[in-house]
Amino acid sequence: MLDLAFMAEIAPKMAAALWMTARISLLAVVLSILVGALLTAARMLGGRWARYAVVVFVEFTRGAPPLVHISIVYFLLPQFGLLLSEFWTGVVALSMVGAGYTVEIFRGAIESIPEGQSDASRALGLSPLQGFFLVLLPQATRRSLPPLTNELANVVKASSLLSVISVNELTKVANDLIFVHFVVIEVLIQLTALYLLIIGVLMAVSRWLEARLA
Amino acid sequence: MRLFAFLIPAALAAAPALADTLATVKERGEIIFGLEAQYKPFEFRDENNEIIGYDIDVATEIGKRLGGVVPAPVDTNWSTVIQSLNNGDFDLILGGMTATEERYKRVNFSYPYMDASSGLLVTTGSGIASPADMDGKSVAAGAGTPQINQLELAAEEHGISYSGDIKTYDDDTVAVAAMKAGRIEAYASTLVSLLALAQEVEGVTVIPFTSSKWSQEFTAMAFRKEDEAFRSEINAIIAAMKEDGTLGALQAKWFGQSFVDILPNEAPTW
Amino acid sequence: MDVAFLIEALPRLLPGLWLTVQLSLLGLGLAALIGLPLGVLRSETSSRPTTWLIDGYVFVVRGTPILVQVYAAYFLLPMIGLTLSPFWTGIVALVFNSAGYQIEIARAALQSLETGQREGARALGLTDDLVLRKVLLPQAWPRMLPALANEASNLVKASSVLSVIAVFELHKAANAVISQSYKFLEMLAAQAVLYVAFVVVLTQLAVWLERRAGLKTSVGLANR
Repeated sequence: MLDLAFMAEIAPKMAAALWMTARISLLAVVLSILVGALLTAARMLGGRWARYAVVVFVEFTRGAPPLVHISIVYFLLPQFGLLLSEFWTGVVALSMVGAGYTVEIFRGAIESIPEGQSDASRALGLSPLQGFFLVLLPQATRRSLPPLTNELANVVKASSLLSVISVNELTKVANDLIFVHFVVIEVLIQLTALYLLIIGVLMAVSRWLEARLA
Repeated sequence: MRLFAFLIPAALAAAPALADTLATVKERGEIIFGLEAQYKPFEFRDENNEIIGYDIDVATEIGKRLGGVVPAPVDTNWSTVIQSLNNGDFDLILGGMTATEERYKRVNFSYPYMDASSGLLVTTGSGIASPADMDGKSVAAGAGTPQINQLELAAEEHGISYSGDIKTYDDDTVAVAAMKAGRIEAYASTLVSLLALAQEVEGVTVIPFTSSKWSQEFTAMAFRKEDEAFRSEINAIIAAMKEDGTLGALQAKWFGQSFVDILPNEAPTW
Repeated sequence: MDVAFLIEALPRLLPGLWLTVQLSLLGLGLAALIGLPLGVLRSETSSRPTTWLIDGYVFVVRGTPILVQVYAAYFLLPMIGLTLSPFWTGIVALVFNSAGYQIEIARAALQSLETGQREGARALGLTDDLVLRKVLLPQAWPRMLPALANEASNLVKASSVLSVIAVFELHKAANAVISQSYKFLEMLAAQAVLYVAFVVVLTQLAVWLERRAGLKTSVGLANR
């Protein structure tokens, strides 16, 4: 019924593609955490205009579809002199998608920290900047871990769109195999199973973290 | 399974009777053919979202010659079109399909009704005048097309290597955009579709892409293996259309010139 | 930025935008018809096989990318005899996807109601059916609105994925203009603005609905 020999034959290629997906997604989330942290600092410590700028950024990155972000990095940036490889185009595009969410995740995490913390740190003589980095950020980080893990799962799903710019991640490799061999079901089963595996694990970790840290 | 039970009568009613397709088509007064309306100028949608193109005109002419039969194109996805044909979803595939050995395992072809040789799209002034000039350049082809393999064979033949992997894109518009953005320097596809593309886009040139490593390719219609009577009838019509100049005129209309002279009256087989 | 070009090209984007609107609203509506009742069922049923089946479906939907679901519909539907146009193939994929998320929305909303409500209603002698229709659902429904607004905006973004199966929605329309001109910046900006505008309109509509339903607004800009 199912061509198991064929499935064994394509497994190495699919595994390699899964690894590519994992690498791009992880790097993208790290980058979006950095950007998110910077923007959160700007929002909290900057003035009214900084806050507006952050709101505009978040509305744009979360309101426009990921394909638009990918197109911007892939087609538009070269016009301004920035020609990244497919891999790094993917990382930057996905981190744009993720950054809008990390800003919100950090905001939620910080708001859940009792007011007393900032008052106490000021009372101890820490400047607002020091208070932010030494007191708020570590606690916010712990509370951010569950939704950030969830966000990693979302980025993994978004990475499938990098197939349209010819990145050899999981969806593209699966699609190529379908076209070359005219075999659909076996490839789709493996494709689905691999995504369910990586995303299932991430979501389970997220729930576990939530239970432990909340 | 019960969920799908209601679909079975519908599917049976919709499926052209596999027994005698020719008779069914004449009786129905409609010739149902599969294509993907994404392939200028064979089939594509105009501003009113109507499907137009070379294949539609060919089907219309065939219908006339069968006697009062009208064309009924079915816009479906290309990667499963052969599957759908064998399921009985249409009478034949008339969608700019290149006859290949791989496909011949599952369908029979008509006499060629159009040329399907490959071409390369390059930026004007890029210095690529022949396939060998692609050494060290970024190249691309359409996803799932024979041109991917041809690029590999060309690299072997000329002893060159490309910059990075051969990239693939889902459609010509993305490939052209990538070329404009400087990501690729050559895009391989069928010569005629590239010629149509070059008419609308500035700053690109089309050069032929042929090689001793692959044989002349043709566009043919595809039939179920058992539909031999139907296929013979259609072949006779194609031959007649070539003879009296109708096919040449349609080609001139959509491709700028007639290719009839290079089309043999022989169905591709392997 | 060539604003003159942008204005001139706008009419070529409008058919695409219209298709995006159709895909989003039709997808959301059809998915609601399937997902919300299933979510209620999931919340209220005590049948283990039913919960497993529904949980399994939700797991697959949330665990795979929308593009994979689109390709699955694209490749598999013709195999079971359903040769649909790209538009309807896309609708099937979008509905399959959104229904899975809406199951969770409905379930979570019902679960968030205090158990006291159920017990109280039953103590009053109301049948389970009446408890559901007259007591639980009316209270659960306003709680679903913020999440449904979020889901609507997700659908708008997901519709752009259908460009890969040749549906001429906004993203593909913009790509077509890009490939014929050099105007990347203008077309990307136009797309982004149109998408974000559509999403903001939907979100504000949800805010209005919530106010009418008596909920304190929890959905606002940059607060989804």
